[in-house]
Amino acid sequence: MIEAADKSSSPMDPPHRRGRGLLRGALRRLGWEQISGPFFRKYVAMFLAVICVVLLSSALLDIWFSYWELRDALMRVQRAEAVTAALRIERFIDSIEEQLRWSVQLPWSADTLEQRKFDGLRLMQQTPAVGELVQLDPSGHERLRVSRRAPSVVDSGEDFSNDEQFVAASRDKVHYGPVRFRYESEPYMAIAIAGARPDSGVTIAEVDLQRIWDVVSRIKVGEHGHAYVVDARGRLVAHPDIGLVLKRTDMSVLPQVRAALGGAGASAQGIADSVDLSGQPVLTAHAPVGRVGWFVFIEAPRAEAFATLYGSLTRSGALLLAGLVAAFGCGLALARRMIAPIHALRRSAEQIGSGDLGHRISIRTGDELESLGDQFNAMAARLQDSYATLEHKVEERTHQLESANLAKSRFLAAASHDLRQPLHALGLWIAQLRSPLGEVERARLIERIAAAVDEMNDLFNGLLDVSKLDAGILIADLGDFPMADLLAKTERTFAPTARDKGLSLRVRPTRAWVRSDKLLLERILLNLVSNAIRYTAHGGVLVGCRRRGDRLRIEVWDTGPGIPDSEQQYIFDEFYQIPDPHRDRRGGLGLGLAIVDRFRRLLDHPIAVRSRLGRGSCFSIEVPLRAPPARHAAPAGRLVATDDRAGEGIVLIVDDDPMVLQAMRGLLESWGYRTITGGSHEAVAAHVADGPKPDLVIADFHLSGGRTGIDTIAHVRAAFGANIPAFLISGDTSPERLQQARAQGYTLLHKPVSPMTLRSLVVKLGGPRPPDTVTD
Amino acid sequence: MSAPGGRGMRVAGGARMRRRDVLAAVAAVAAGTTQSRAAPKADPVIGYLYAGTPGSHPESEAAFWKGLADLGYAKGRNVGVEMRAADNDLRRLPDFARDLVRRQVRVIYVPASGPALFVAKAATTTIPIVFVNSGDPIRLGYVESLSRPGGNVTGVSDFGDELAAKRLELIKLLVPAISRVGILAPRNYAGLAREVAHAREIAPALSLETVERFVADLPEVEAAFASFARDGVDGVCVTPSPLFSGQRQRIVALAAQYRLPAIYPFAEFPQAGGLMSYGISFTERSYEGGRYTGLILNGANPGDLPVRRLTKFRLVINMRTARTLGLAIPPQVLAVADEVVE
Repeated sequence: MIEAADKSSSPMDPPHRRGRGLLRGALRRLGWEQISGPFFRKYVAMFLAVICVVLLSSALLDIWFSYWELRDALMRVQRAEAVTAALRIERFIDSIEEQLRWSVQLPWSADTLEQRKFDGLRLMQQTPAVGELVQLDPSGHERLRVSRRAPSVVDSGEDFSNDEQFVAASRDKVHYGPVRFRYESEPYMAIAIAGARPDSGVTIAEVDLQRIWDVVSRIKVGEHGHAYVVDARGRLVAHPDIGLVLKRTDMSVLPQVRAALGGAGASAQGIADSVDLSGQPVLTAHAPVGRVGWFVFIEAPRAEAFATLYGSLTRSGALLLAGLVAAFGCGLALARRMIAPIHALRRSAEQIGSGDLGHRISIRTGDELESLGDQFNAMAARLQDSYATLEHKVEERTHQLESANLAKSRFLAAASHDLRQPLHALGLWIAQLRSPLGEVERARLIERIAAAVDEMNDLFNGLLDVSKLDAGILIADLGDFPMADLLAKTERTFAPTARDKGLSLRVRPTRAWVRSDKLLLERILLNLVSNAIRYTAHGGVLVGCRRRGDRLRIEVWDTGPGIPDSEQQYIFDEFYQIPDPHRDRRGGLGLGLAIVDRFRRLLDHPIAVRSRLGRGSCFSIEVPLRAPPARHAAPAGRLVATDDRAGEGIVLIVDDDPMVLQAMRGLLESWGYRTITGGSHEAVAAHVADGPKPDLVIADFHLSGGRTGIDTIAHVRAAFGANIPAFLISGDTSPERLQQARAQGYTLLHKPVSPMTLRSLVVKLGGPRPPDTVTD
Repeated sequence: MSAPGGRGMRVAGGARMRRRDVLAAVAAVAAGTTQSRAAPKADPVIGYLYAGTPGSHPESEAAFWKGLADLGYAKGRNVGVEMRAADNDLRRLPDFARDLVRRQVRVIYVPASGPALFVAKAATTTIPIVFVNSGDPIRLGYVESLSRPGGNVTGVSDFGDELAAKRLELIKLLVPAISRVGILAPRNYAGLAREVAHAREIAPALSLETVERFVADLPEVEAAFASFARDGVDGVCVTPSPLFSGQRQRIVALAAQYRLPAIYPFAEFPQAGGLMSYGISFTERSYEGGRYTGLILNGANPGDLPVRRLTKFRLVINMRTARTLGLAIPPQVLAVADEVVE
C-alpha cells in the first residue's frame, strides 16, 4: 500500500493505471486501504458473482416464461378473434342460404311465376347482400331473374343446363361460386342452391361480399395487426388492402396458410414460422369458415406483439444492472465487516509474534470470530504465563546450577582441606621415618601411615561413589544373603575403633535373610555405624534388627548428643554437619550420610532417624525380608576376599607415570609375579613384538600420545591373538571413564588403589582361571 | 478554363465556397423550419365547387359537414371553405376552378356534377378532388380505376344513372295502369343520355312507351311537365341531376299539379311529397363525400382511396301522395317497399 502513495495518478499515466490509482485513492479516503487485499477482492468478487448469477438466472427464467405466456395469450386472443370472424362470416352466408332455400320451395308453373317474382323481390329486400337472383327450373332453363339494378326478367328460357353452377348445385345441393369482382372493386360470390325435391330446380343468388369485407376490415390487432380471408385454394378473398384482393394474390405462399390448407389444426402450428407477404415474422391464428371452405387469418407483427416483452427485457436489464451495482456496494460493505476482525487478528498475531505478549485483541462481533478472538487472547495469556514460568524456571535452574557449582567448589575446597590433614601427617611421619627409629617406633609409625592412607583412600572412595552415583552407572545387584554376614563384618570393622574410643559396640545377631545389594548395604551400614561412633563421645553404639512384617529394620542406636528436630531433614545433605562446637574434628567430610541417602534411594530402602537431644539417635533402614533357603549357599560376591594364593605368570604393566610404574612393579614382584613394564603404548608395542606373552595386562587409562589403556590392551591381545585378561587403573574418576571401561568390558580401579584390592583382582584375573570366573 | 494552377485554386476555392453554401443552406433550412414552426399553421381550406344553385341542397351540405365532423373537422374551427356555386351556369365553372387552385385550397369538393368535375380536373392535377355522383366514374372518365383511382381524383358514386330501366319496372309495378312514361333528363349529360336510350329500349317489354324531355333549367322543367300532360303521359321518371334535386319541391308540386305519378332517383323526393323513388339518398352520399374529404385532409392520398360505391338502393313510397292520386297500391308491392312515407 506504500506504493500506492507513490504512484498517485497523473494525467500522463495510461487510463487503466490512472483508474487504479483513483480507486486506491478512493479506498484510502474511505479508510479501507488496509483491508482491500486479495481476500477482500475475492470475497467481493464472489458475492458479486453469486448475486449476478442469481439475478441473471432469475431474469432469464422470468423472460423465458413471460415469452411463452405472452405468446400463448396472444395466440388465444388471436384465435378467438379468428373464430369470431369466421363465425360471423358463416352466419352471414347461412342466413342467405336460408332465405334462398325457402325461395326454391314453390312449384313451377306459369301463374306461380308472378308469385315467385314478388317472393324474389321480398327476398332481396330482406337480404340486402343479394344483388341478383336467378331461378332455374330442373332442366336448367332460366325462369326468373330478379335484380336490384335491372328490371326483372321472367321466363327468359335461357339455357344454363351446362352452367357449372347449375350442375354442381344439382349434384351437391349447394354450390359456392368463386369470388368475383364487379367494377374491380365489388366482390361478389354466387351461391347456387338446389331444392330438396327433384323438381325444385336451382336458385342462384349473387351475394355482395361487402359485408364480409366490413367484418374483416374492422378487425384490428394492436397497431398493425389485421385479418384476411382466403378461399379453399389459398387465394385472397378479403383483406384490408383491397388492391391485394384484386390482384388475386395467392396467399398459399405463406407457410401458415399452407399449413392451414393442409389441414393442420389451429394449435399445431408453425407459428414460429409465420411470415407476412413482405417476409416479416408475424403471429398468426386461423379459423375455418365451415361451409365455403375459407379460412380467416388473424395476423399480428411479431415485433409489436412482443413489444411488451422487449420492454420487459429492457426493464430486466436495467434492474439487473442496478442490482449488480447494489450488490457491488453491499459486497464491499459486507466484506469489510467480515474482514475487519480477521485483519485485527492478523495484526494482533503480528504484534504478539514480535514479542508484545501483553497485547490482547478485542473483537465484538458476537459470533465465531469473537470466540476466536477470545481463544486468541487465552492463548496469548498462556504464552505469557509459560514465558514467565519458563523464565522463572530458567532462573531457578540457573540458580540451582549455580548453587550446584558452588556446592562442587565447596566440595572441592572441603575435599582438598580434608585431604591436606592426612597428607600433612603423612609428610611428617615419612620425614620421621628417615631418622633412625626403634622397631616399635617404626612399626607404630608404619601403622599410622597406613591409617592415614586408609583415610585418604576412604575419602577418594567417597568421591568416587559420588561420581558413580552422579553418572548413574551404579546398578544395584540384588541378591539374597544372610544379614549375619554384614553384622559380622560391621563388628569386625569397628570393634577396635570403638574400644579405642572407650565406647561399647554391641551387635545383635540375627538369622534373617534379606534381599538387597550386599555391597551397598554394607557400605550403608558401615557408614551409619561409623557416623554413630564418630559422633558419640561416651556410651555406646547398638546395632540390631527387628522384623517388621515382610521387612527387616536395621537399627543403629547411639548415645550421642542427638540431632535437634530442626536439623534432621538436613543431615542427609552433602557435607552437612550439625554445627556443634564439641564435635570431634577428626571426622571426615560430611559425605557419609549423603552417600547413605543416595545408596538407599538406589535400593529403594526407606530410612528414618529418631533422636533426642542429649540422649542419643537411632538411624534405621528397612530392607525386604527373605525366607532363608534350605541350604546355606555361598554368597556370590564381586570381589573375593584376600586370597593368599600366590600367583605365577607374567604381568604386563603400562603406566606413563614412572613412579607408579616402579611401585607397581615392586609390589607385583614381591608377590611373585614376573613383570614387563612399559611407559607408553609404543614401548609396550615394542615389548610385545618380540617378548613373551603376558598372562595379565594392567594398564593406566590415560597414556601419553593421546592413547588409552584400552587401545594398548587391544593391541596386546591382537598381537598375541588371545583374549588376555586385563584391567585398567586410572586416577580419572570422571563417569565417562567408567562408562568407557565398562563398555569395553574392563574393570576400572581408581587410584589410589588399596594393595589388597589390587592383589585380589590380579589373582582373580591373572591366576589359573576357575571355569566360572565372572569378569567385571 | 483557367490554367491548371488556377483551376486547382478555383477548385479549392469552389470547394470552400461549396462548403459555405452548404452551411448557408443548412442554416436557412433550419431557420425556415424554425420559422415555420414558430408561425401557427393555417387551417386547411376546402374548395366547394358546385354547379347548381347555392343553398339548394341544405341537407346535402349539412350531411357533408357531418361527414367531416366525424373525422374531427368543424367549419370555422379548424377548417375553412371557399364556396363557388355556378347557379347552373356552367360557363362560370372554369374561372371558379382556377381561382380555387390559385388559393391553394387543400381539397376541391365537387358534388353531383360531371362538368364541374372535368373543369376541376383540368384546373389541377395536384390538389385532391373529391366528387360525388351517380354515374359510372370509369365510363364517365372520372378515374381510371375504382379500386385505385391513381391521380388526384376520388370520390363516392352510386351508379344511380343506370337505374332508369329498373325505375320504369317499378313504377309499372306500382301503377299497372301506366302505359306512357315521360322521362325527364338534364341536357348535355352524356351518361344519362345513354341510360335514357336504354330505358327506351326495354320499355316495350314492360308494355310501356317512353317520352323523353331534356331540360336545362326550371322553366324548361315546367314546360316539360306541361308537354307531358299534353302528350297523355300517365307516369314520369325523373333521372338524377342536381338541377332536379335542387328543385325537388317544385318538381313534386308540378307532378301533383298534373296528377302524374312519378318515380324519382333519390329518397329525398318522396320525403318532399313525391310518389316514389328508387335509389340512394343523396344526403347519405354527401355524408360519404364529407368523410372522404376528411380523410384527404387527414393526409390520405386520393390515388390510394378507392372510389366508394353506394349500393343500397331503396324503394321508397309516399302513401299520402298515393292516396291523393287515388292509387290503390297492391299489398304485394307495398311489401316489397323498403320505406313507406306518410
